[in-house]
Amino acid sequence: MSIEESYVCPRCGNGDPRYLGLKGGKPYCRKCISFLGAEASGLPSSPKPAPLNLHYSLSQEQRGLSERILQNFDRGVDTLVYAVCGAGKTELVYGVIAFAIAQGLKVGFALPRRDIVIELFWRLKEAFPHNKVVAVYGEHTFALEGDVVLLTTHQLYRYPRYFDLLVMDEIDAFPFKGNAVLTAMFLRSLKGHFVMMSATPNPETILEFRKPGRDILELRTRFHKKPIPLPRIVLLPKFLQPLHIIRKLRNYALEKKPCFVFTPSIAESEELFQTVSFLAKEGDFVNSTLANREDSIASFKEGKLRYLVTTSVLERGVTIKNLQVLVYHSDDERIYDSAALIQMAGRVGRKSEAPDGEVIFLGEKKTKAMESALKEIRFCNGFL
Amino acid sequence: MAFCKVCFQEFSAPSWRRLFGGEVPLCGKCFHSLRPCAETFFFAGFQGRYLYKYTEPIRDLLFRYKACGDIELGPIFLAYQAPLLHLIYRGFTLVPAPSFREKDLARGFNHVEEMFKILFLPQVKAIQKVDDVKQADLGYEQRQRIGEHLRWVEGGSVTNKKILFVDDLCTSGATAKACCRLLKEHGASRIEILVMGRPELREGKEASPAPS
Repeated sequence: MSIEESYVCPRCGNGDPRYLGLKGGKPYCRKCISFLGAEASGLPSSPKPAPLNLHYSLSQEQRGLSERILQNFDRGVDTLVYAVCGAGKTELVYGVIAFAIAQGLKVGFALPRRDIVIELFWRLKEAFPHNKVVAVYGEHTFALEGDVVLLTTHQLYRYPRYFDLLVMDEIDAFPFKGNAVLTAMFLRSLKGHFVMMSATPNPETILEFRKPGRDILELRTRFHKKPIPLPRIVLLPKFLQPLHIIRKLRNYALEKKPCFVFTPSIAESEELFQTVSFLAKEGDFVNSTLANREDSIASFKEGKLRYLVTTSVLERGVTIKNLQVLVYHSDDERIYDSAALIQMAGRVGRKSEAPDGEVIFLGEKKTKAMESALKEIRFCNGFL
Repeated sequence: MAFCKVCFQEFSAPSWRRLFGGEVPLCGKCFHSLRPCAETFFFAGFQGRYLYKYTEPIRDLLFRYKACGDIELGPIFLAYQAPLLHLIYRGFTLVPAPSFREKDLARGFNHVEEMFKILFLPQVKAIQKVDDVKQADLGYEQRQRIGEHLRWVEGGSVTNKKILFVDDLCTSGATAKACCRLLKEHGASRIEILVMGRPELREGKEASPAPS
């Protein structure tokens, strides 16, 4: 067997010869070569108190699940938390995080997207005011170690065999979903046990967690005990969809309701915004290529903007009071699977002050993904 | 069938390219996504040519190539243009842009040499950079003083030779200008410049900074 055939990357476990490079006669892996940077020192951390500061109380189900996650972690069982959008997943793991910090264990909280990391950073900082929370994401890697390391899945390579407790949220989101390198980096960074969370795990993940030594915890209702708003499907030819969006946006503007308009691609987000912005003022568009998108999102949250045209960057992990959602070209099956549609619909009615809202899927035809998303939401609402 | 070095997918090279022989490491789709062009420019009396518009994909690839040290990307940049460049630059001698030696050692290779190897022209490493200065970090005025950091390597003879000065990027042209002047002083009969991309220089700074 030649070197080319027998080489397996020690970092990402890749053995496919097409990703193999030769430098000065030595093989190297080209699949994970861009994961290059300083690694965490791995000095042992000492136990310290982690008082939790929450200015709201958890619901009874949340408290029960939180307790069971903690028990699982203590027994060395990996947990999958399968809870609907807006169930309060993040709050469920505060208990186990506090427990691990108090034991002097290394705690990580990984998410696939940097926007959500930034968003969650402030929430965690508020919940753990006496502990050091560090956020690590692309171009923000100055501090690598703290009591809780909040990071994107792309930064996990900096922590080989490091985390005693690793919480993974939104595991079914791009770019983590189906990415072999990131999955390998996740397993590499793990020393203890993990808690995975998702509103829309795929069947393979669920099967994986049916094995012994792993556990699935389910939460089918939102913490405020109101149903998830059921999406409405509006079938229109593609050229008429912007008109419908304009009409809706003007209505929402009168009612002073903020709104997200989701588009399947970056190009479409710009095009649609150009069309729509003629008649619906005070909006903006965001996508992953825009450097100033944090400013746009911040001014939207402050209420300076009435609507945002966005790609999937804001599909997950965003909570805004009284938000309405329109999905443009939602019959694009390459982009929108049922998980994505459920997540977008799950942006609505997340606050107990405004538990209702409107979700509209605009499309030329009804797709399988739409149907299964509706079915799933109806199923979860049936638990109330 | 071969694997593309950029997208790792299986592809077969276009028939016209296969006619010229050699292995093609890049699929046509990736090649076109890099926005190839054939533009010439003149400055300080030297003719130059660049091969790609400096866009995001080129920037990312250069980052992987130079900063991450992915040597396999070396031959991809000129893969499609090489047959034509052979004809244009017949009889020329290659002088790669000077680079700081320690940096090359850390990376394991010289990125300019690797990139232009595919032209099969004799190379003379006539100029050396003695200090670790990075043009991308500097403003326009400071860039012009690059000549202070350059040194002529004794024994690198260019007298009465047709010289092709090559570099990966040429932004303000300060390095190229200084090197071409040095080459002229040492008796090169004809000097041309070939670079891969030309980022635009705006307000004394680059629009998007080049990777290290």
